Amino acid sequence: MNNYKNYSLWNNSMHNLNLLVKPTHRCNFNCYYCYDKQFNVQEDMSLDTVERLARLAKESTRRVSWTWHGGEPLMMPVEFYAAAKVILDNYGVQDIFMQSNGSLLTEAWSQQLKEWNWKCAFSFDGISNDSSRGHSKEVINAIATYKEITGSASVIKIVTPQNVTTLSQDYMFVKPFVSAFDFNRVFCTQTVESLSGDYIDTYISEYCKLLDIWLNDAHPLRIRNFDSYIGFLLGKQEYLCGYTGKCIYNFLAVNPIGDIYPCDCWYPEDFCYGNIHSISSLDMVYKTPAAKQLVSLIKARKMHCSACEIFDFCSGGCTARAIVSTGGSLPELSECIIRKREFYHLFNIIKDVRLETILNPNLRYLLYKVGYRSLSFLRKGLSDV
Amino acid sequence: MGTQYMNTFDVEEFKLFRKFNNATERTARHIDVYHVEDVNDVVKIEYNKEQAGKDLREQLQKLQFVE
Repeated sequence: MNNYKNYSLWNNSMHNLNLLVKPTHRCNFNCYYCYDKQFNVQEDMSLDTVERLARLAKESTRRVSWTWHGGEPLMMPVEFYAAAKVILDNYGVQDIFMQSNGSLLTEAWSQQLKEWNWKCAFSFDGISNDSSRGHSKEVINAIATYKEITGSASVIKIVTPQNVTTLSQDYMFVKPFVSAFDFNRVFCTQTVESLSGDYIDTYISEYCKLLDIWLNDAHPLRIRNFDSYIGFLLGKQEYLCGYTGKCIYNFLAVNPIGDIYPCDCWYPEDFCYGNIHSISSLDMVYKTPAAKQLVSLIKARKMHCSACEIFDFCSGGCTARAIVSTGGSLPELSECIIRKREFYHLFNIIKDVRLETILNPNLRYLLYKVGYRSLSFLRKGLSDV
Repeated sequence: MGTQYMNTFDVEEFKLFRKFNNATERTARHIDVYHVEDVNDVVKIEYNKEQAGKDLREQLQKLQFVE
C-alpha cells in the first residue's frame, strides 16, 4: 500500500545529537573500501562504556539518537544488546538505530529489533554486491525477512569506480525487498580512491538516469539523496549531514574503548576528542584542541568556498572527506565537482515541473503540500503584477 | 524531464525560485490546491492556477518576504 500522504521531508529532522556508537571494530566481511579497518582497536565495548555514554548523553539535555555502528554490530552477542537496552531505557535514550551488513540478521534478531523498536539499515551494493561485499543471497533474504517483520527496510550502496555503472539499475534490483535506497560515494582512504576523472562523468550519467526513474516511478522507494536536495530547494534547513556546515556539533562517534571522534568516518588520531571515561560532560569535547583545530579548518574551508554559487547548499562539504583529501582547509575536489553537477541537474529538473505530470506520488504530494511554484509560473505572475 | 545531464545554472533563476519557495515565505500565504493526479483533470488544474495566482498577488501585497 502506498502511504505517500505520510511522506514528508520534514518528519526526519536531525536530532540535536547523533551518537554513532561502535561496539566493535570486528567484522565478518572484508569490503575493499571499508575505512573502519584502519582503526586499530581490538577490544569490544563494555557495558560500563555504554552506561557512561548514555549518562553523558542524558545529561547533555539534547535530543539524542543512538546508532549502533561498526565494524559489524551484530558480531556482538544478543546478551550485550539486551543489557544495553536496559541501560538506554534507564537514561531515556529512545531513538535507537543500527547499521548492519545483514549477514548475521536472523529472523529472531528481526523480531527482537522490532520488539525493542530499534530500526536497522543495511549496507548493500546492489547488482555488484557479490564482488564488493559478498554473501548477497543470505543478505537479501535477511533484509526481506526484516522488512516483512518490521514493515520497512533501507539499504545504502557505496558507489565506487568498480560499481558506478549500475547505480540506476541497482534501484530496480533492490526494489522488491526494501523501502528505501540510499547511495554514498566511496570515502577516500590511504588505499581507496574517490570517484574521479571519467568516473565522475559516469556517476553523473547514472545519477541523472536514477533521478528520472525515481521521478517516473508510481511506486517509488525513498531516496535520501534526492529528498535532501529537494528539501534544500524548498527551504529545509537540515538535510545531508555533511552539508549543513554544523555537523561537528550534531554528531559524535564513540569507538569500543570509549574514544570520541567527530563522526563515524575515518579521522586521523589527531582528531580524537578524548575518552568518555575521562570527561564529565559531552560538551567538554568542543573545548579540546582537536575540536578547536577542526573548527579552524572548517572556518578556512568555508572562507575558501564562500563565493561559490552553491555554498548555501553544501557549506564547504564533508569535513571528514576534506581532511583526508586536502588536510581540511579545502574541499575534496572530486566531491566539489560532483556536488555542483548533481545540484545543477536537480535544480534544472525541479525548477519547472508541472505537478500533475509527476508520476512519483510521494514527490507530487509533497510539492502540492508545500505550495510549490514553478519558475514559469513565478515569472508570469510577477510580470502580471 | 529526462536523463540527459543539464549543466547550465542560472544563479538569478535559483534566487527567484528560492525566494518564492521556502519555509519562511510559506508562513505568509494560504496554500489551497487540489492534489491532481490526472493530467486531463483540467477543471482542478485550472482551479489550482487561479488560486496560486491569487495567492501570489496577495503575498506580494503583504511584502513579507525574507530573502
